[in-house]
Amino acid sequence: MSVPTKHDFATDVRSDRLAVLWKVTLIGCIVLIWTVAIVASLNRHAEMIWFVALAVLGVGCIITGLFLRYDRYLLAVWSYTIGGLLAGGIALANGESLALQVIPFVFPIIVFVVGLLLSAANTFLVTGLVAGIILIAPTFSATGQTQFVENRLFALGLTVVSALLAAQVTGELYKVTEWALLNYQRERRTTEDLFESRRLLQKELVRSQALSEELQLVNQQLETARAAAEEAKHFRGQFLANMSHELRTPLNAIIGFSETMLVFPTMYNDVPLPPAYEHDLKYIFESGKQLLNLINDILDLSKVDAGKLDIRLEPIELTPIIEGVLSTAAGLIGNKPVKLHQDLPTPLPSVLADANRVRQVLTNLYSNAVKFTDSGSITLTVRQVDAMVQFSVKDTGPGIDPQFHETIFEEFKQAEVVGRDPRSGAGLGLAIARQLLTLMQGRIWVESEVGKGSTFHILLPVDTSHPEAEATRPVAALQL
Amino acid sequence: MRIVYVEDNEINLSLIQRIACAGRHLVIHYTDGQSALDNCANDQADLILVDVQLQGKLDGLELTRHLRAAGQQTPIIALTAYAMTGDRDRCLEAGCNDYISKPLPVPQVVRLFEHYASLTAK
Repeated sequence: MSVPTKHDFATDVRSDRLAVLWKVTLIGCIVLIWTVAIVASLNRHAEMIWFVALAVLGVGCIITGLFLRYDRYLLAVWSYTIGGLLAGGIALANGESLALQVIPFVFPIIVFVVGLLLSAANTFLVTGLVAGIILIAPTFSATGQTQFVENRLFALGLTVVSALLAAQVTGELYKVTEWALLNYQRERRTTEDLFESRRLLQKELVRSQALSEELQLVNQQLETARAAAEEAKHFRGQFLANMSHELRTPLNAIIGFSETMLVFPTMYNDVPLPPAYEHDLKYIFESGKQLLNLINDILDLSKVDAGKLDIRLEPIELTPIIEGVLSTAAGLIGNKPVKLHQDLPTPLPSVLADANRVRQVLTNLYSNAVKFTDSGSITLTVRQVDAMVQFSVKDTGPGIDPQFHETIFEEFKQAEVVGRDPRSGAGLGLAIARQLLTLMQGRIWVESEVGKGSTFHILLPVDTSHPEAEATRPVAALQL
Repeated sequence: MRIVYVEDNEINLSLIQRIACAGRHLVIHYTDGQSALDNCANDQADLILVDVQLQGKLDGLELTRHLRAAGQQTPIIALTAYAMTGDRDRCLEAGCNDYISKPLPVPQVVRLFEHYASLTAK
């Protein structure tokens, strides 16, 4: 949409005006032709010149109309002007007395009307033409040269005045047009700004819609991925449960028979095993147990994953747990030159935890300590720190590089830490310990330096309901 | 002591037989739940051991329910290779007196037999 220029706008207004004007003139023309025809028939002598003049005027009007239809405004105005002037000129040239008296006074009207349609310069050009016609046209007839000369001069004066008036009015018209145009343009700018804002808004709207669609798509994908992960987790849990079952059945025979042979000779009519057999059978028995522990660990982790691990938080007595763990540790040490030390408070505080799981975690720490300590000692310290009980298992093993202090608590990462150390297991024990401690609202971490041994710490919440529960049993009973 | 053992795995059976022979207990064996249900009333068992995962229509727990419904008073011990949460409760709920998970801890089974044998002796 282009903003119209000042000229276009004025021309539009004038075109409308001329469109009315030529039609009115044409109708007037036809009416006059009829009138002249009636007058002529009454007087019984035809004045042909009137018909010719009115016909010229009519043709001028029709040409004007045609030009207007094809948007040739200037040509249309000039057709209209020339039609009028020619008609007047023809009437004057005939020298008829009525024409000589009336026609000169028609010219000022024509000039005024045309002056409103043309520019000031063109108006004065038309005025010049009119002056020429008024002065020259009557000289073609004998009567015209002498009669009504003052009439014509007066009409000439009037024509000039009307030309000036028209120019004045046109100027006014231009001013009004300019003002209207200015307002129009201002209005247009506002509207355009509005349009622009609306367009931007629409664009923004489309963009945000696209974004929201994209978001929805991403959400859907996320949901699908989540469901897939959930399903995978479920299948993994089911698979592990089945695997555990399938592995336990052959282990039942491996562990069961090696144990009966090693421990219960009465079941074989007291026939003694040859020492070499007994020696090797021990390996079968120990390996079977190791395998069983591994299966139990994997099963535990899958239970934690599935949120199915049973943890019963209840006040537990530490004495039997520590006794059991220490006796297991003593069994694990065997003939190695490793001593077990304890530094325990009297009385031992009671903790709020799951007894089996606490035993499992402590056994794991001792089993690791025994595994990695070739000689020296393993010391258990128990202290109450505010509302928590802290267990510390300190060994004199090779120690752990600080960069691995977190990694060792991640699943299957032990191998990464200790490389191909034959003592490393599957690396599940500490991962499980951390999970169990989290479930029991406790904590596990390590302090260690390479070459200076390691200390694993555990925190468990103290049981506040029975503060003196353990006071009855002396800790001396624990000395092994 | 007469022990009825319902188990479809020969190796497991043979392990229990090996443990039982130390205490000179007699093991009467069934490989499926239905035959155990049909016959064990005549066995005059002092202890019944059932494997939970039995092939056929009756698994160990179903068998226990049927035995209890039929008025069987003999102690029943469930043996299972499943070690999942809730297994123990399910066994006790079905009417078992105890539950042992496989692989069987031999010393514990020996003690268990001694315990029930002493009850029978009285």
